[in-house]
Amino acid sequence: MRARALGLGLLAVLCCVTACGRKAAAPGSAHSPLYTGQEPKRTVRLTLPGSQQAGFVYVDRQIYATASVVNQGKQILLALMAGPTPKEAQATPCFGPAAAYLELYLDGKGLAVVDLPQATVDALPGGTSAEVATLYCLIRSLGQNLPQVGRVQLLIDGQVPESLRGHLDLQDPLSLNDL
Amino acid sequence: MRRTLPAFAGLGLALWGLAAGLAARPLILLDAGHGGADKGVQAPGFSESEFSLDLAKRLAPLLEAKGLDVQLTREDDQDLSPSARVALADDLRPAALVSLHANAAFQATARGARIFVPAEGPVDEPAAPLWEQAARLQAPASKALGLSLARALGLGGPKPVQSLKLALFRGLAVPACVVECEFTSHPQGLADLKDPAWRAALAQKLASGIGAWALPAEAAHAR
Repeated sequence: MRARALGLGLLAVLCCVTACGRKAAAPGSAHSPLYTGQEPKRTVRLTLPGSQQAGFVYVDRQIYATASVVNQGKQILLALMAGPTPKEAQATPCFGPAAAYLELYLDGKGLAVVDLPQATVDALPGGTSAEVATLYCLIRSLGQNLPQVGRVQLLIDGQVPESLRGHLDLQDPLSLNDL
Repeated sequence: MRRTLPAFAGLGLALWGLAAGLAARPLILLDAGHGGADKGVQAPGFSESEFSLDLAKRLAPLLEAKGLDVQLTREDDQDLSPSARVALADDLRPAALVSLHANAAFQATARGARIFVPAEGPVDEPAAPLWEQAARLQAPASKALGLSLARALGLGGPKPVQSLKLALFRGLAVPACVVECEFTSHPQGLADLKDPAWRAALAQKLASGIGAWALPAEAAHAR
């Protein structure tokens, strides 16, 4: 019970911080660089919707193995939002065009908080199946590559939403078992 | 006088029976998905919020003709959050809430209807919030309704009905289903969704599935 209260408290603080209006992050931004380019690289595996049949496919990407796990997570988010390359015809994007995140937090107890701007949510296609696919790819891509992540709480513009596009219940953190 | 008293009594009894019969009609709450600023899935020449309202209005008289009472969560293009829909359902206590939607997928190959119901689980799990335990009580009835709809829509496969944590199911204390009728992301699916004749046929199938669940005696009689 105490752990749950602490978790909710942390989430409330994160909501307050993100509600102050951050701009979408960019890799190599002068204000918050995710990496220096001097770090060793590591391979991460992204989950994307399959293009030819129902289900998911995996594609690999190289990211910088920064000391900050959060910055690794942010690189994964950017790679996921960029979608497949033209050569990866077996996969389709799981976000709309120009997708971005506002912030990513890890609580150190398995919870990742991903804050998305409303514009990124509005660019999603809608429909329960697409919504499930987006969240599955997001949670699996973070969880598979960062052992620190087991559940994801999604925020939209710093607030806990009722749902993403009117379907999935986002008022509590989600794990893959919920999808 | 001696003749009129029994006549009045008989008339009263008939009226009481009629009222009781009417009162016993199960209420179905039809939820036209999205609405207002939330247009749902958008495709060329298609708006999900318009489609779901049109389908609900086609379906309502078919259900009433089967002996069910019907209420819509919205009668026009208005904003209605998932929690407001849940509050309405929990106030009205219908026999079931059926939410109508159009689907989308990232794969252009996805076709057909999808039916979602609340997840089943132990109703006395101490870690689960009370609202979730209450919602779980309705899960078996929701699944039965979902399976009835799946039969009516001709859905096969190992899992014709899927359980999912949807915002519409949060705190909902009545049986419920979300029906994603067809994929807008498939060219033929989108063409079907726009077709008035297809919508009319879909409404007939949905009415059949809901009726078979809510009025099983009628379904048995029909067989």
